[in-house]
Parts: sequence; structure tokens; C-alpha cells
Amino acid sequence: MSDELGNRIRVFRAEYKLSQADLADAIGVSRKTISTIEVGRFVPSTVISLKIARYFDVPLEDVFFLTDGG
Amino acid sequence: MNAQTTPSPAELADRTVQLLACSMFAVALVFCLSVAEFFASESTAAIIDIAVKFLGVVILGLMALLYFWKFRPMSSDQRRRHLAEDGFLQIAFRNAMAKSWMLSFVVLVVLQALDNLILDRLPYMPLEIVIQGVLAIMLLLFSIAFVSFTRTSSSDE
Repeated sequence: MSDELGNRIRVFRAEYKLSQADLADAIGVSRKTISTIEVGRFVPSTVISLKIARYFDVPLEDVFFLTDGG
Repeated sequence: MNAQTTPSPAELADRTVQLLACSMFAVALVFCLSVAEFFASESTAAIIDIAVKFLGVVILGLMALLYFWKFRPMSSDQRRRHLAEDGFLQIAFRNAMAKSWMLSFVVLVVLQALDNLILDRLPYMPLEIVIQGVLAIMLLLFSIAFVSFTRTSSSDE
């Protein structure tokens, strides 16, 4: 589990009215991968992170952020 | 089965990893039973032998099913992408492999260091049984690590 990486995937999903499965299918990963990323259990690869940001058409930093405040 | 219930390639890759992990645990059980058979009485050994053969057939059957049903129809490009998935379960599988290798190494080094206390007190075992025991330890440690990494605690919709 990562204590340093936060994300706003759930917020974006709500805006787009997407389920975890919908987002997973859209970017080509499994629903388990999306759910574990959202709760901070899994740090996604750069490729998956970029795919998520590209899908929501936002910069990567809008989706993922560091939680240490640095 | 209609198109809506066909799993995506990523879900299929997840199921492959789960099936592989289950099979590795089953193989660990086979090795444990084989070692137990060596130490068991004749009547018990006969029962264990049947169980080992049955488990072996089940594992081979599952692996053959996976290969011929899912893997063989894939193109080489699909196969490469399937195996290179970097989702949660695939990374957990690799981490479990690494952790179990390290733990197995530590266990073997400790056993070797304590040979006077432990190894010398064990009854004589053929090399085949020793190898099966080591493999059983490695696979059981992998199974424990994999379950530990993947146990469900996340929220679901």
C-alpha cells in the first residue's frame, strides 16, 4: 500500500457516471486493478496512470497527487 | 455466451494469474503429500499415493484446459500482451514470487546453519524426498505471500 500517492479517480468516475468496471474496460485493465488503485492498495504503472488521465482528458497531476505535502 | 458476458483481455489475464496461483498451491500440496507418504505407514501411504495421483491429474487437467482453451487460440502478439499485463494481480504475483524466493533462501540458509540441531536429527531421506520438501516449502511460501498481497479489503460498488 502506498501512503504517498493519492488519487481522484472516484471523483472523476462520479463526474462521468462510470462504474469501476466501465473505467476498467475503457482503459484495458481489470476492475480489480481500478478498485485497488482507488483505495491506495496498488500503485499503478506509468502506462496505466497515463491511460486513466487520457481517458478523463485531464493532466496526470489532476488525477494523481503526492500526499506528503512536499 | 453473448458479447456482454465475454471477459475482457484484462479480466482474462487476472483469471489466468488466479488459476496459476491456485495450481501452484495444489502442486505444493502434492509435494507435501509425497513427503508425508515417505514417512507414513504402508496403509496410509497407499491412500496418500492415490490422493497424490488424483491431485496430479486434476492439476494437469486444469493446466491443459487453460492452455488449449485460452492460450493456444491467441496470436503471439496477444499472448505476449496477456503475459505482460501490469495490473494489480500480475504485480502481486511477481511480488509473491520474489518474496517467496527470498524467504525460501533464508529458510534454507538457516537450516544449513543449524544442521547440527535440525538436519542431523532428521531421519535419512532420499534426495528425491528432500527436493520435494524444498519445493513444497517454496510453493507454500509463495501461496501465503500471494494471498497476503491480494486479500480483499477494498470497497466495491
